[in-house]
Formats: sequence, structure tokens, C-alpha cells
Amino acid sequence: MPSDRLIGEPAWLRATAIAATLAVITVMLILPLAVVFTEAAAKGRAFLLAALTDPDALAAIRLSLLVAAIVVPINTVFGLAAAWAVSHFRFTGRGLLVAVMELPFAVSPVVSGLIYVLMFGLQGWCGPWLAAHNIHIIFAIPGIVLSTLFVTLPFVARQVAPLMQALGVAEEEAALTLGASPWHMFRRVTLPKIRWALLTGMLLCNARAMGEFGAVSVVSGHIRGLTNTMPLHIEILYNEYNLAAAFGIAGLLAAMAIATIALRMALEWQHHSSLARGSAAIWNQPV
Amino acid sequence: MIHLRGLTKGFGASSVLNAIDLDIPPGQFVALLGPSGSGKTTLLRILSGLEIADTGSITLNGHAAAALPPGARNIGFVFQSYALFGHLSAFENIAFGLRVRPRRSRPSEPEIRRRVEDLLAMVHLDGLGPRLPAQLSGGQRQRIALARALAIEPRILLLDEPFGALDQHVRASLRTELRRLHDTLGLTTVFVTHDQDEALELADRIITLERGRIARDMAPVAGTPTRPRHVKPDQ
Repeated sequence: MPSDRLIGEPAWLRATAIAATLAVITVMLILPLAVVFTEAAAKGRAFLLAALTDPDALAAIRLSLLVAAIVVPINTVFGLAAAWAVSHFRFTGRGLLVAVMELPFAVSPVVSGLIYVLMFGLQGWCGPWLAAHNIHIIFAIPGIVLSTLFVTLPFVARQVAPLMQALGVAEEEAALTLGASPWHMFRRVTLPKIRWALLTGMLLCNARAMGEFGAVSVVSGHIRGLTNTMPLHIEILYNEYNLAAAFGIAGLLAAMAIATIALRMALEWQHHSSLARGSAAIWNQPV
Repeated sequence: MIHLRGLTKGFGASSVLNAIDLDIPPGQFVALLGPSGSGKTTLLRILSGLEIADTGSITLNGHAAAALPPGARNIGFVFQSYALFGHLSAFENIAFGLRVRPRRSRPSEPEIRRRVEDLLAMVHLDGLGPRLPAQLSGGQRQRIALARALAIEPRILLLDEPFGALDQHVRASLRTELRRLHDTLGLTTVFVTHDQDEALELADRIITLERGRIARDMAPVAGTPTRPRHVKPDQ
């Protein structure tokens, strides 16, 4: 095992680096989260419960869960297919595909939302046709799902593709020569090796799908009880100076995110070596 | 057993194999020799079905095989890098080819167990079935890879520089065992190597590839291993 410490690394550098990191994390991440939870709890449990069980709040929570339940499986399948394509085949436009896959991370979510308004909105390209056929996408749930799909597109592919590339195809080829069907090969050879990276990608995708604000805000129309997701509902409460209720829902959303990270850490703990290998590959390999 | 006619393969603009004609009779042990880039690994991969030739025909055991996927060719393949399934035990590695068979031709669990134990004994690794590949030495890994390839009871065994990463002592003993398995199981074997001594010691026939063509085709003669005599390809 190589030592964690570089030879000749001065102690003060180590201490400063750790202290600076801790300070930034405390001020920027932990304190605000603590504020969210204390504010949520400030008015007591009864008020918090009332804020969370308000019909509009419940509808927002349901919608956020519904969107995540649709988006995560679709992006998992897409991410696997995309990762497979770029790691197993050399084809014209492969580099471009890898770059385009990152686009949702580079483009502002508001722009992502506007794209769909331009395409499917009343004044958009397909707008008149959709209106004529009574299909509602913008200011309706399909628009929210579409824009969330777009924003969370890269998560699974980004986790899985570098790992697949690093693993190579030798074992898969061995499986084929032994008579495995492509499905058997994927199920018994590929999947066991990528499962922790895949799960990490799915968890991150899920967290973002429930938390996405910008893109969803543009296409949702903010119809209470119908097209408000949790982040949108929080904003409405906040704009109405209903701070306690806003913090209540925000606390729940933050708790869901923390639960996601905790789940990931628990998995990492349990399968340390396997996930560590995956992470190393992710950091060392260009996507 | 193996008949190749006009086999040609190029990657992009460069030609890797150039109109290869080759007949290998049943039971022969053939070494494919040649410098790197001469096309020997590509030829082996085309035989196995992992690469597709651009033109030419492949006949295996009397059946046209050029369009068959790797799994339908009944060929054992041993990789230089072992390519063992890292997440499966040695036992499960060997059992893999039996377990992925369609239900009707899949052996029963006790039958699989018996055959894997037999194969472990055949490569002298009795008792090491529960180990993961990472817990085995290089020589042991290649023995497992050999046993795994033989588990599907192939008529043809292809090996791609299988002993390249091993030290001299281990190589020597694996060579002896490979030749013994070839003889006792009645296999037809094609063995890719860049080591001339290895080819001379193991093979009934040595084919040298250069720039995608068969440059020499000969049989080594006992006693004069460095100056093999020429034989006709079909002999």
C-alpha cells in the first residue's frame, strides 16, 4: 500500500489544507443545512406536521416522487446504453457524443426548460399541432418529466462509462466464447462489475430529479396542487412570507438528499474496495 | 477440421490479413509464430468469432462458420491476460460455460459440480475451487482459464500467447501439461506465440505469419529443432 503522505510534505501544509476545507464545508454546507432544520423545527412539531400535510404540500411531494420514479429508470437505461456505446465501440462522432452527453451539466437549467417551451409551447414548433390534438406538455406533468430527464441525463452515463472503459472487454469476450448470450454476458459479467457505480449514478440522478428547480420552474406553470414540485412549492411559500412552512418542506427535501448521500456512504462502506476502484477509474479517466 | 480460404481482414486503411489459405487436420497442434503486428492474434480471433473477416470462408468440422457467433462455434479460447471473471470463484469461472447453456442442454447441478471438480483435478488445482482469481498465482490463473475453456468440451482449442506473462519455470510445466491435454482429449489446437523455442517444443507444425501472409509452414523435426523441414500444408 502506498503511503497517504507525500515524502517531505510539511506538517503545516497538511494542517492548513484540512482546516481550510473543514472551514469552507462548515460555513457553506453544514451551517445552512443546520439553519434549515432548526427553522423547520422552530414552530414546533404540530406546525411542521401541518405544513407537510397541507394538501398542496402533499401534492408537491407526490409529484416530486412521481417525477423521480419516471426519470430515474429511463435515465438508468439510457445511461447504460450510452456508456456501453462509448466504451465498447469506436465510431465516427464518438467524441462528439461524449461531449454532448455533458451538455445538460454545462447549460443553465433555465435554458433547458426554455428549450422545451420553444419546442412544445403554444408558440413553439410543435405547439399548434399538440394543441390541435389536445396534448398538454408545457404547464403539465409531461413537460416537468421531460425537462427533469434532460437535466439528469448525464448522471448514470458519467459514472458508468469511465469504469466500463477501464475494465475493458476481455472478460466479456471470454463469456461470449463460452457460449453466453449477450444478455447473459451483461447480466453475469458486466453488471456485477459496474453495479456500485451504476447505483451511485442512480442515487445522484434521483437526488437531482427531486431537487431540480430551474428547468422545472420554466415549464411547470406553478399550478398549485397540480404542477408544483417540492422545490417550486418551497419557493411559493417563501414568496408568500410563509417562512416556517417553506423551511418545513425544505427540511424534508434536504433530509431526502442527506438520506441519499447516507445510503451511498453505507454502500461504499460495505463494498469499500469495489466502489473505490470505480471511483478511482472515474477520477483518472476522461469520460 | 479447420479450413480457411481467402481470409482477408483490414482495420481502416491497413490490411492485417491478406488472403490466408490454411487447412489444419484434426488432432494437429499448430503454433502460429510471427512478429507483433503480423496478424497472428487477428487470425485467432477470426477463428473464434470475436472478429469478423472482411472476405473469405471459414469451415469448422465441416460446417461453414464465418457467420456463426463465438458461442456457437464450440471453440475453447484462452486469453493472454487470462480474462478470468474477477468476481467469481475459480469453481464458478469453470462452471460458467455450463451454467449459461439453455435450460434443455444445461447439465444438472450435481453434474456441473462433478465436471468442474474433474477439470480442477485435470489442471492439478484440486481444492482451489473456492478461491477468487485475485487469490491465485499467475500460473494457477492460466490453469483455471484453460479448465474454463475446456469445460464446454470444445473440439478446437485456441490460445493467444497464453504463457507470455509467466516466468520460465511455470511456462515449462504448463507447456508439458497443455501438450498432454491436447493429446489425451484429442483436441485440435492453435497456439499463438512469439517465442520460437516454445513453438518448436510444443507444436506438430509451425506457421509463421509476416505482414498478414503465411511466410513459412513447416514441421519441427526431433533432434534438429532449430532447422525444421518443410512439409506440405495439407500433410
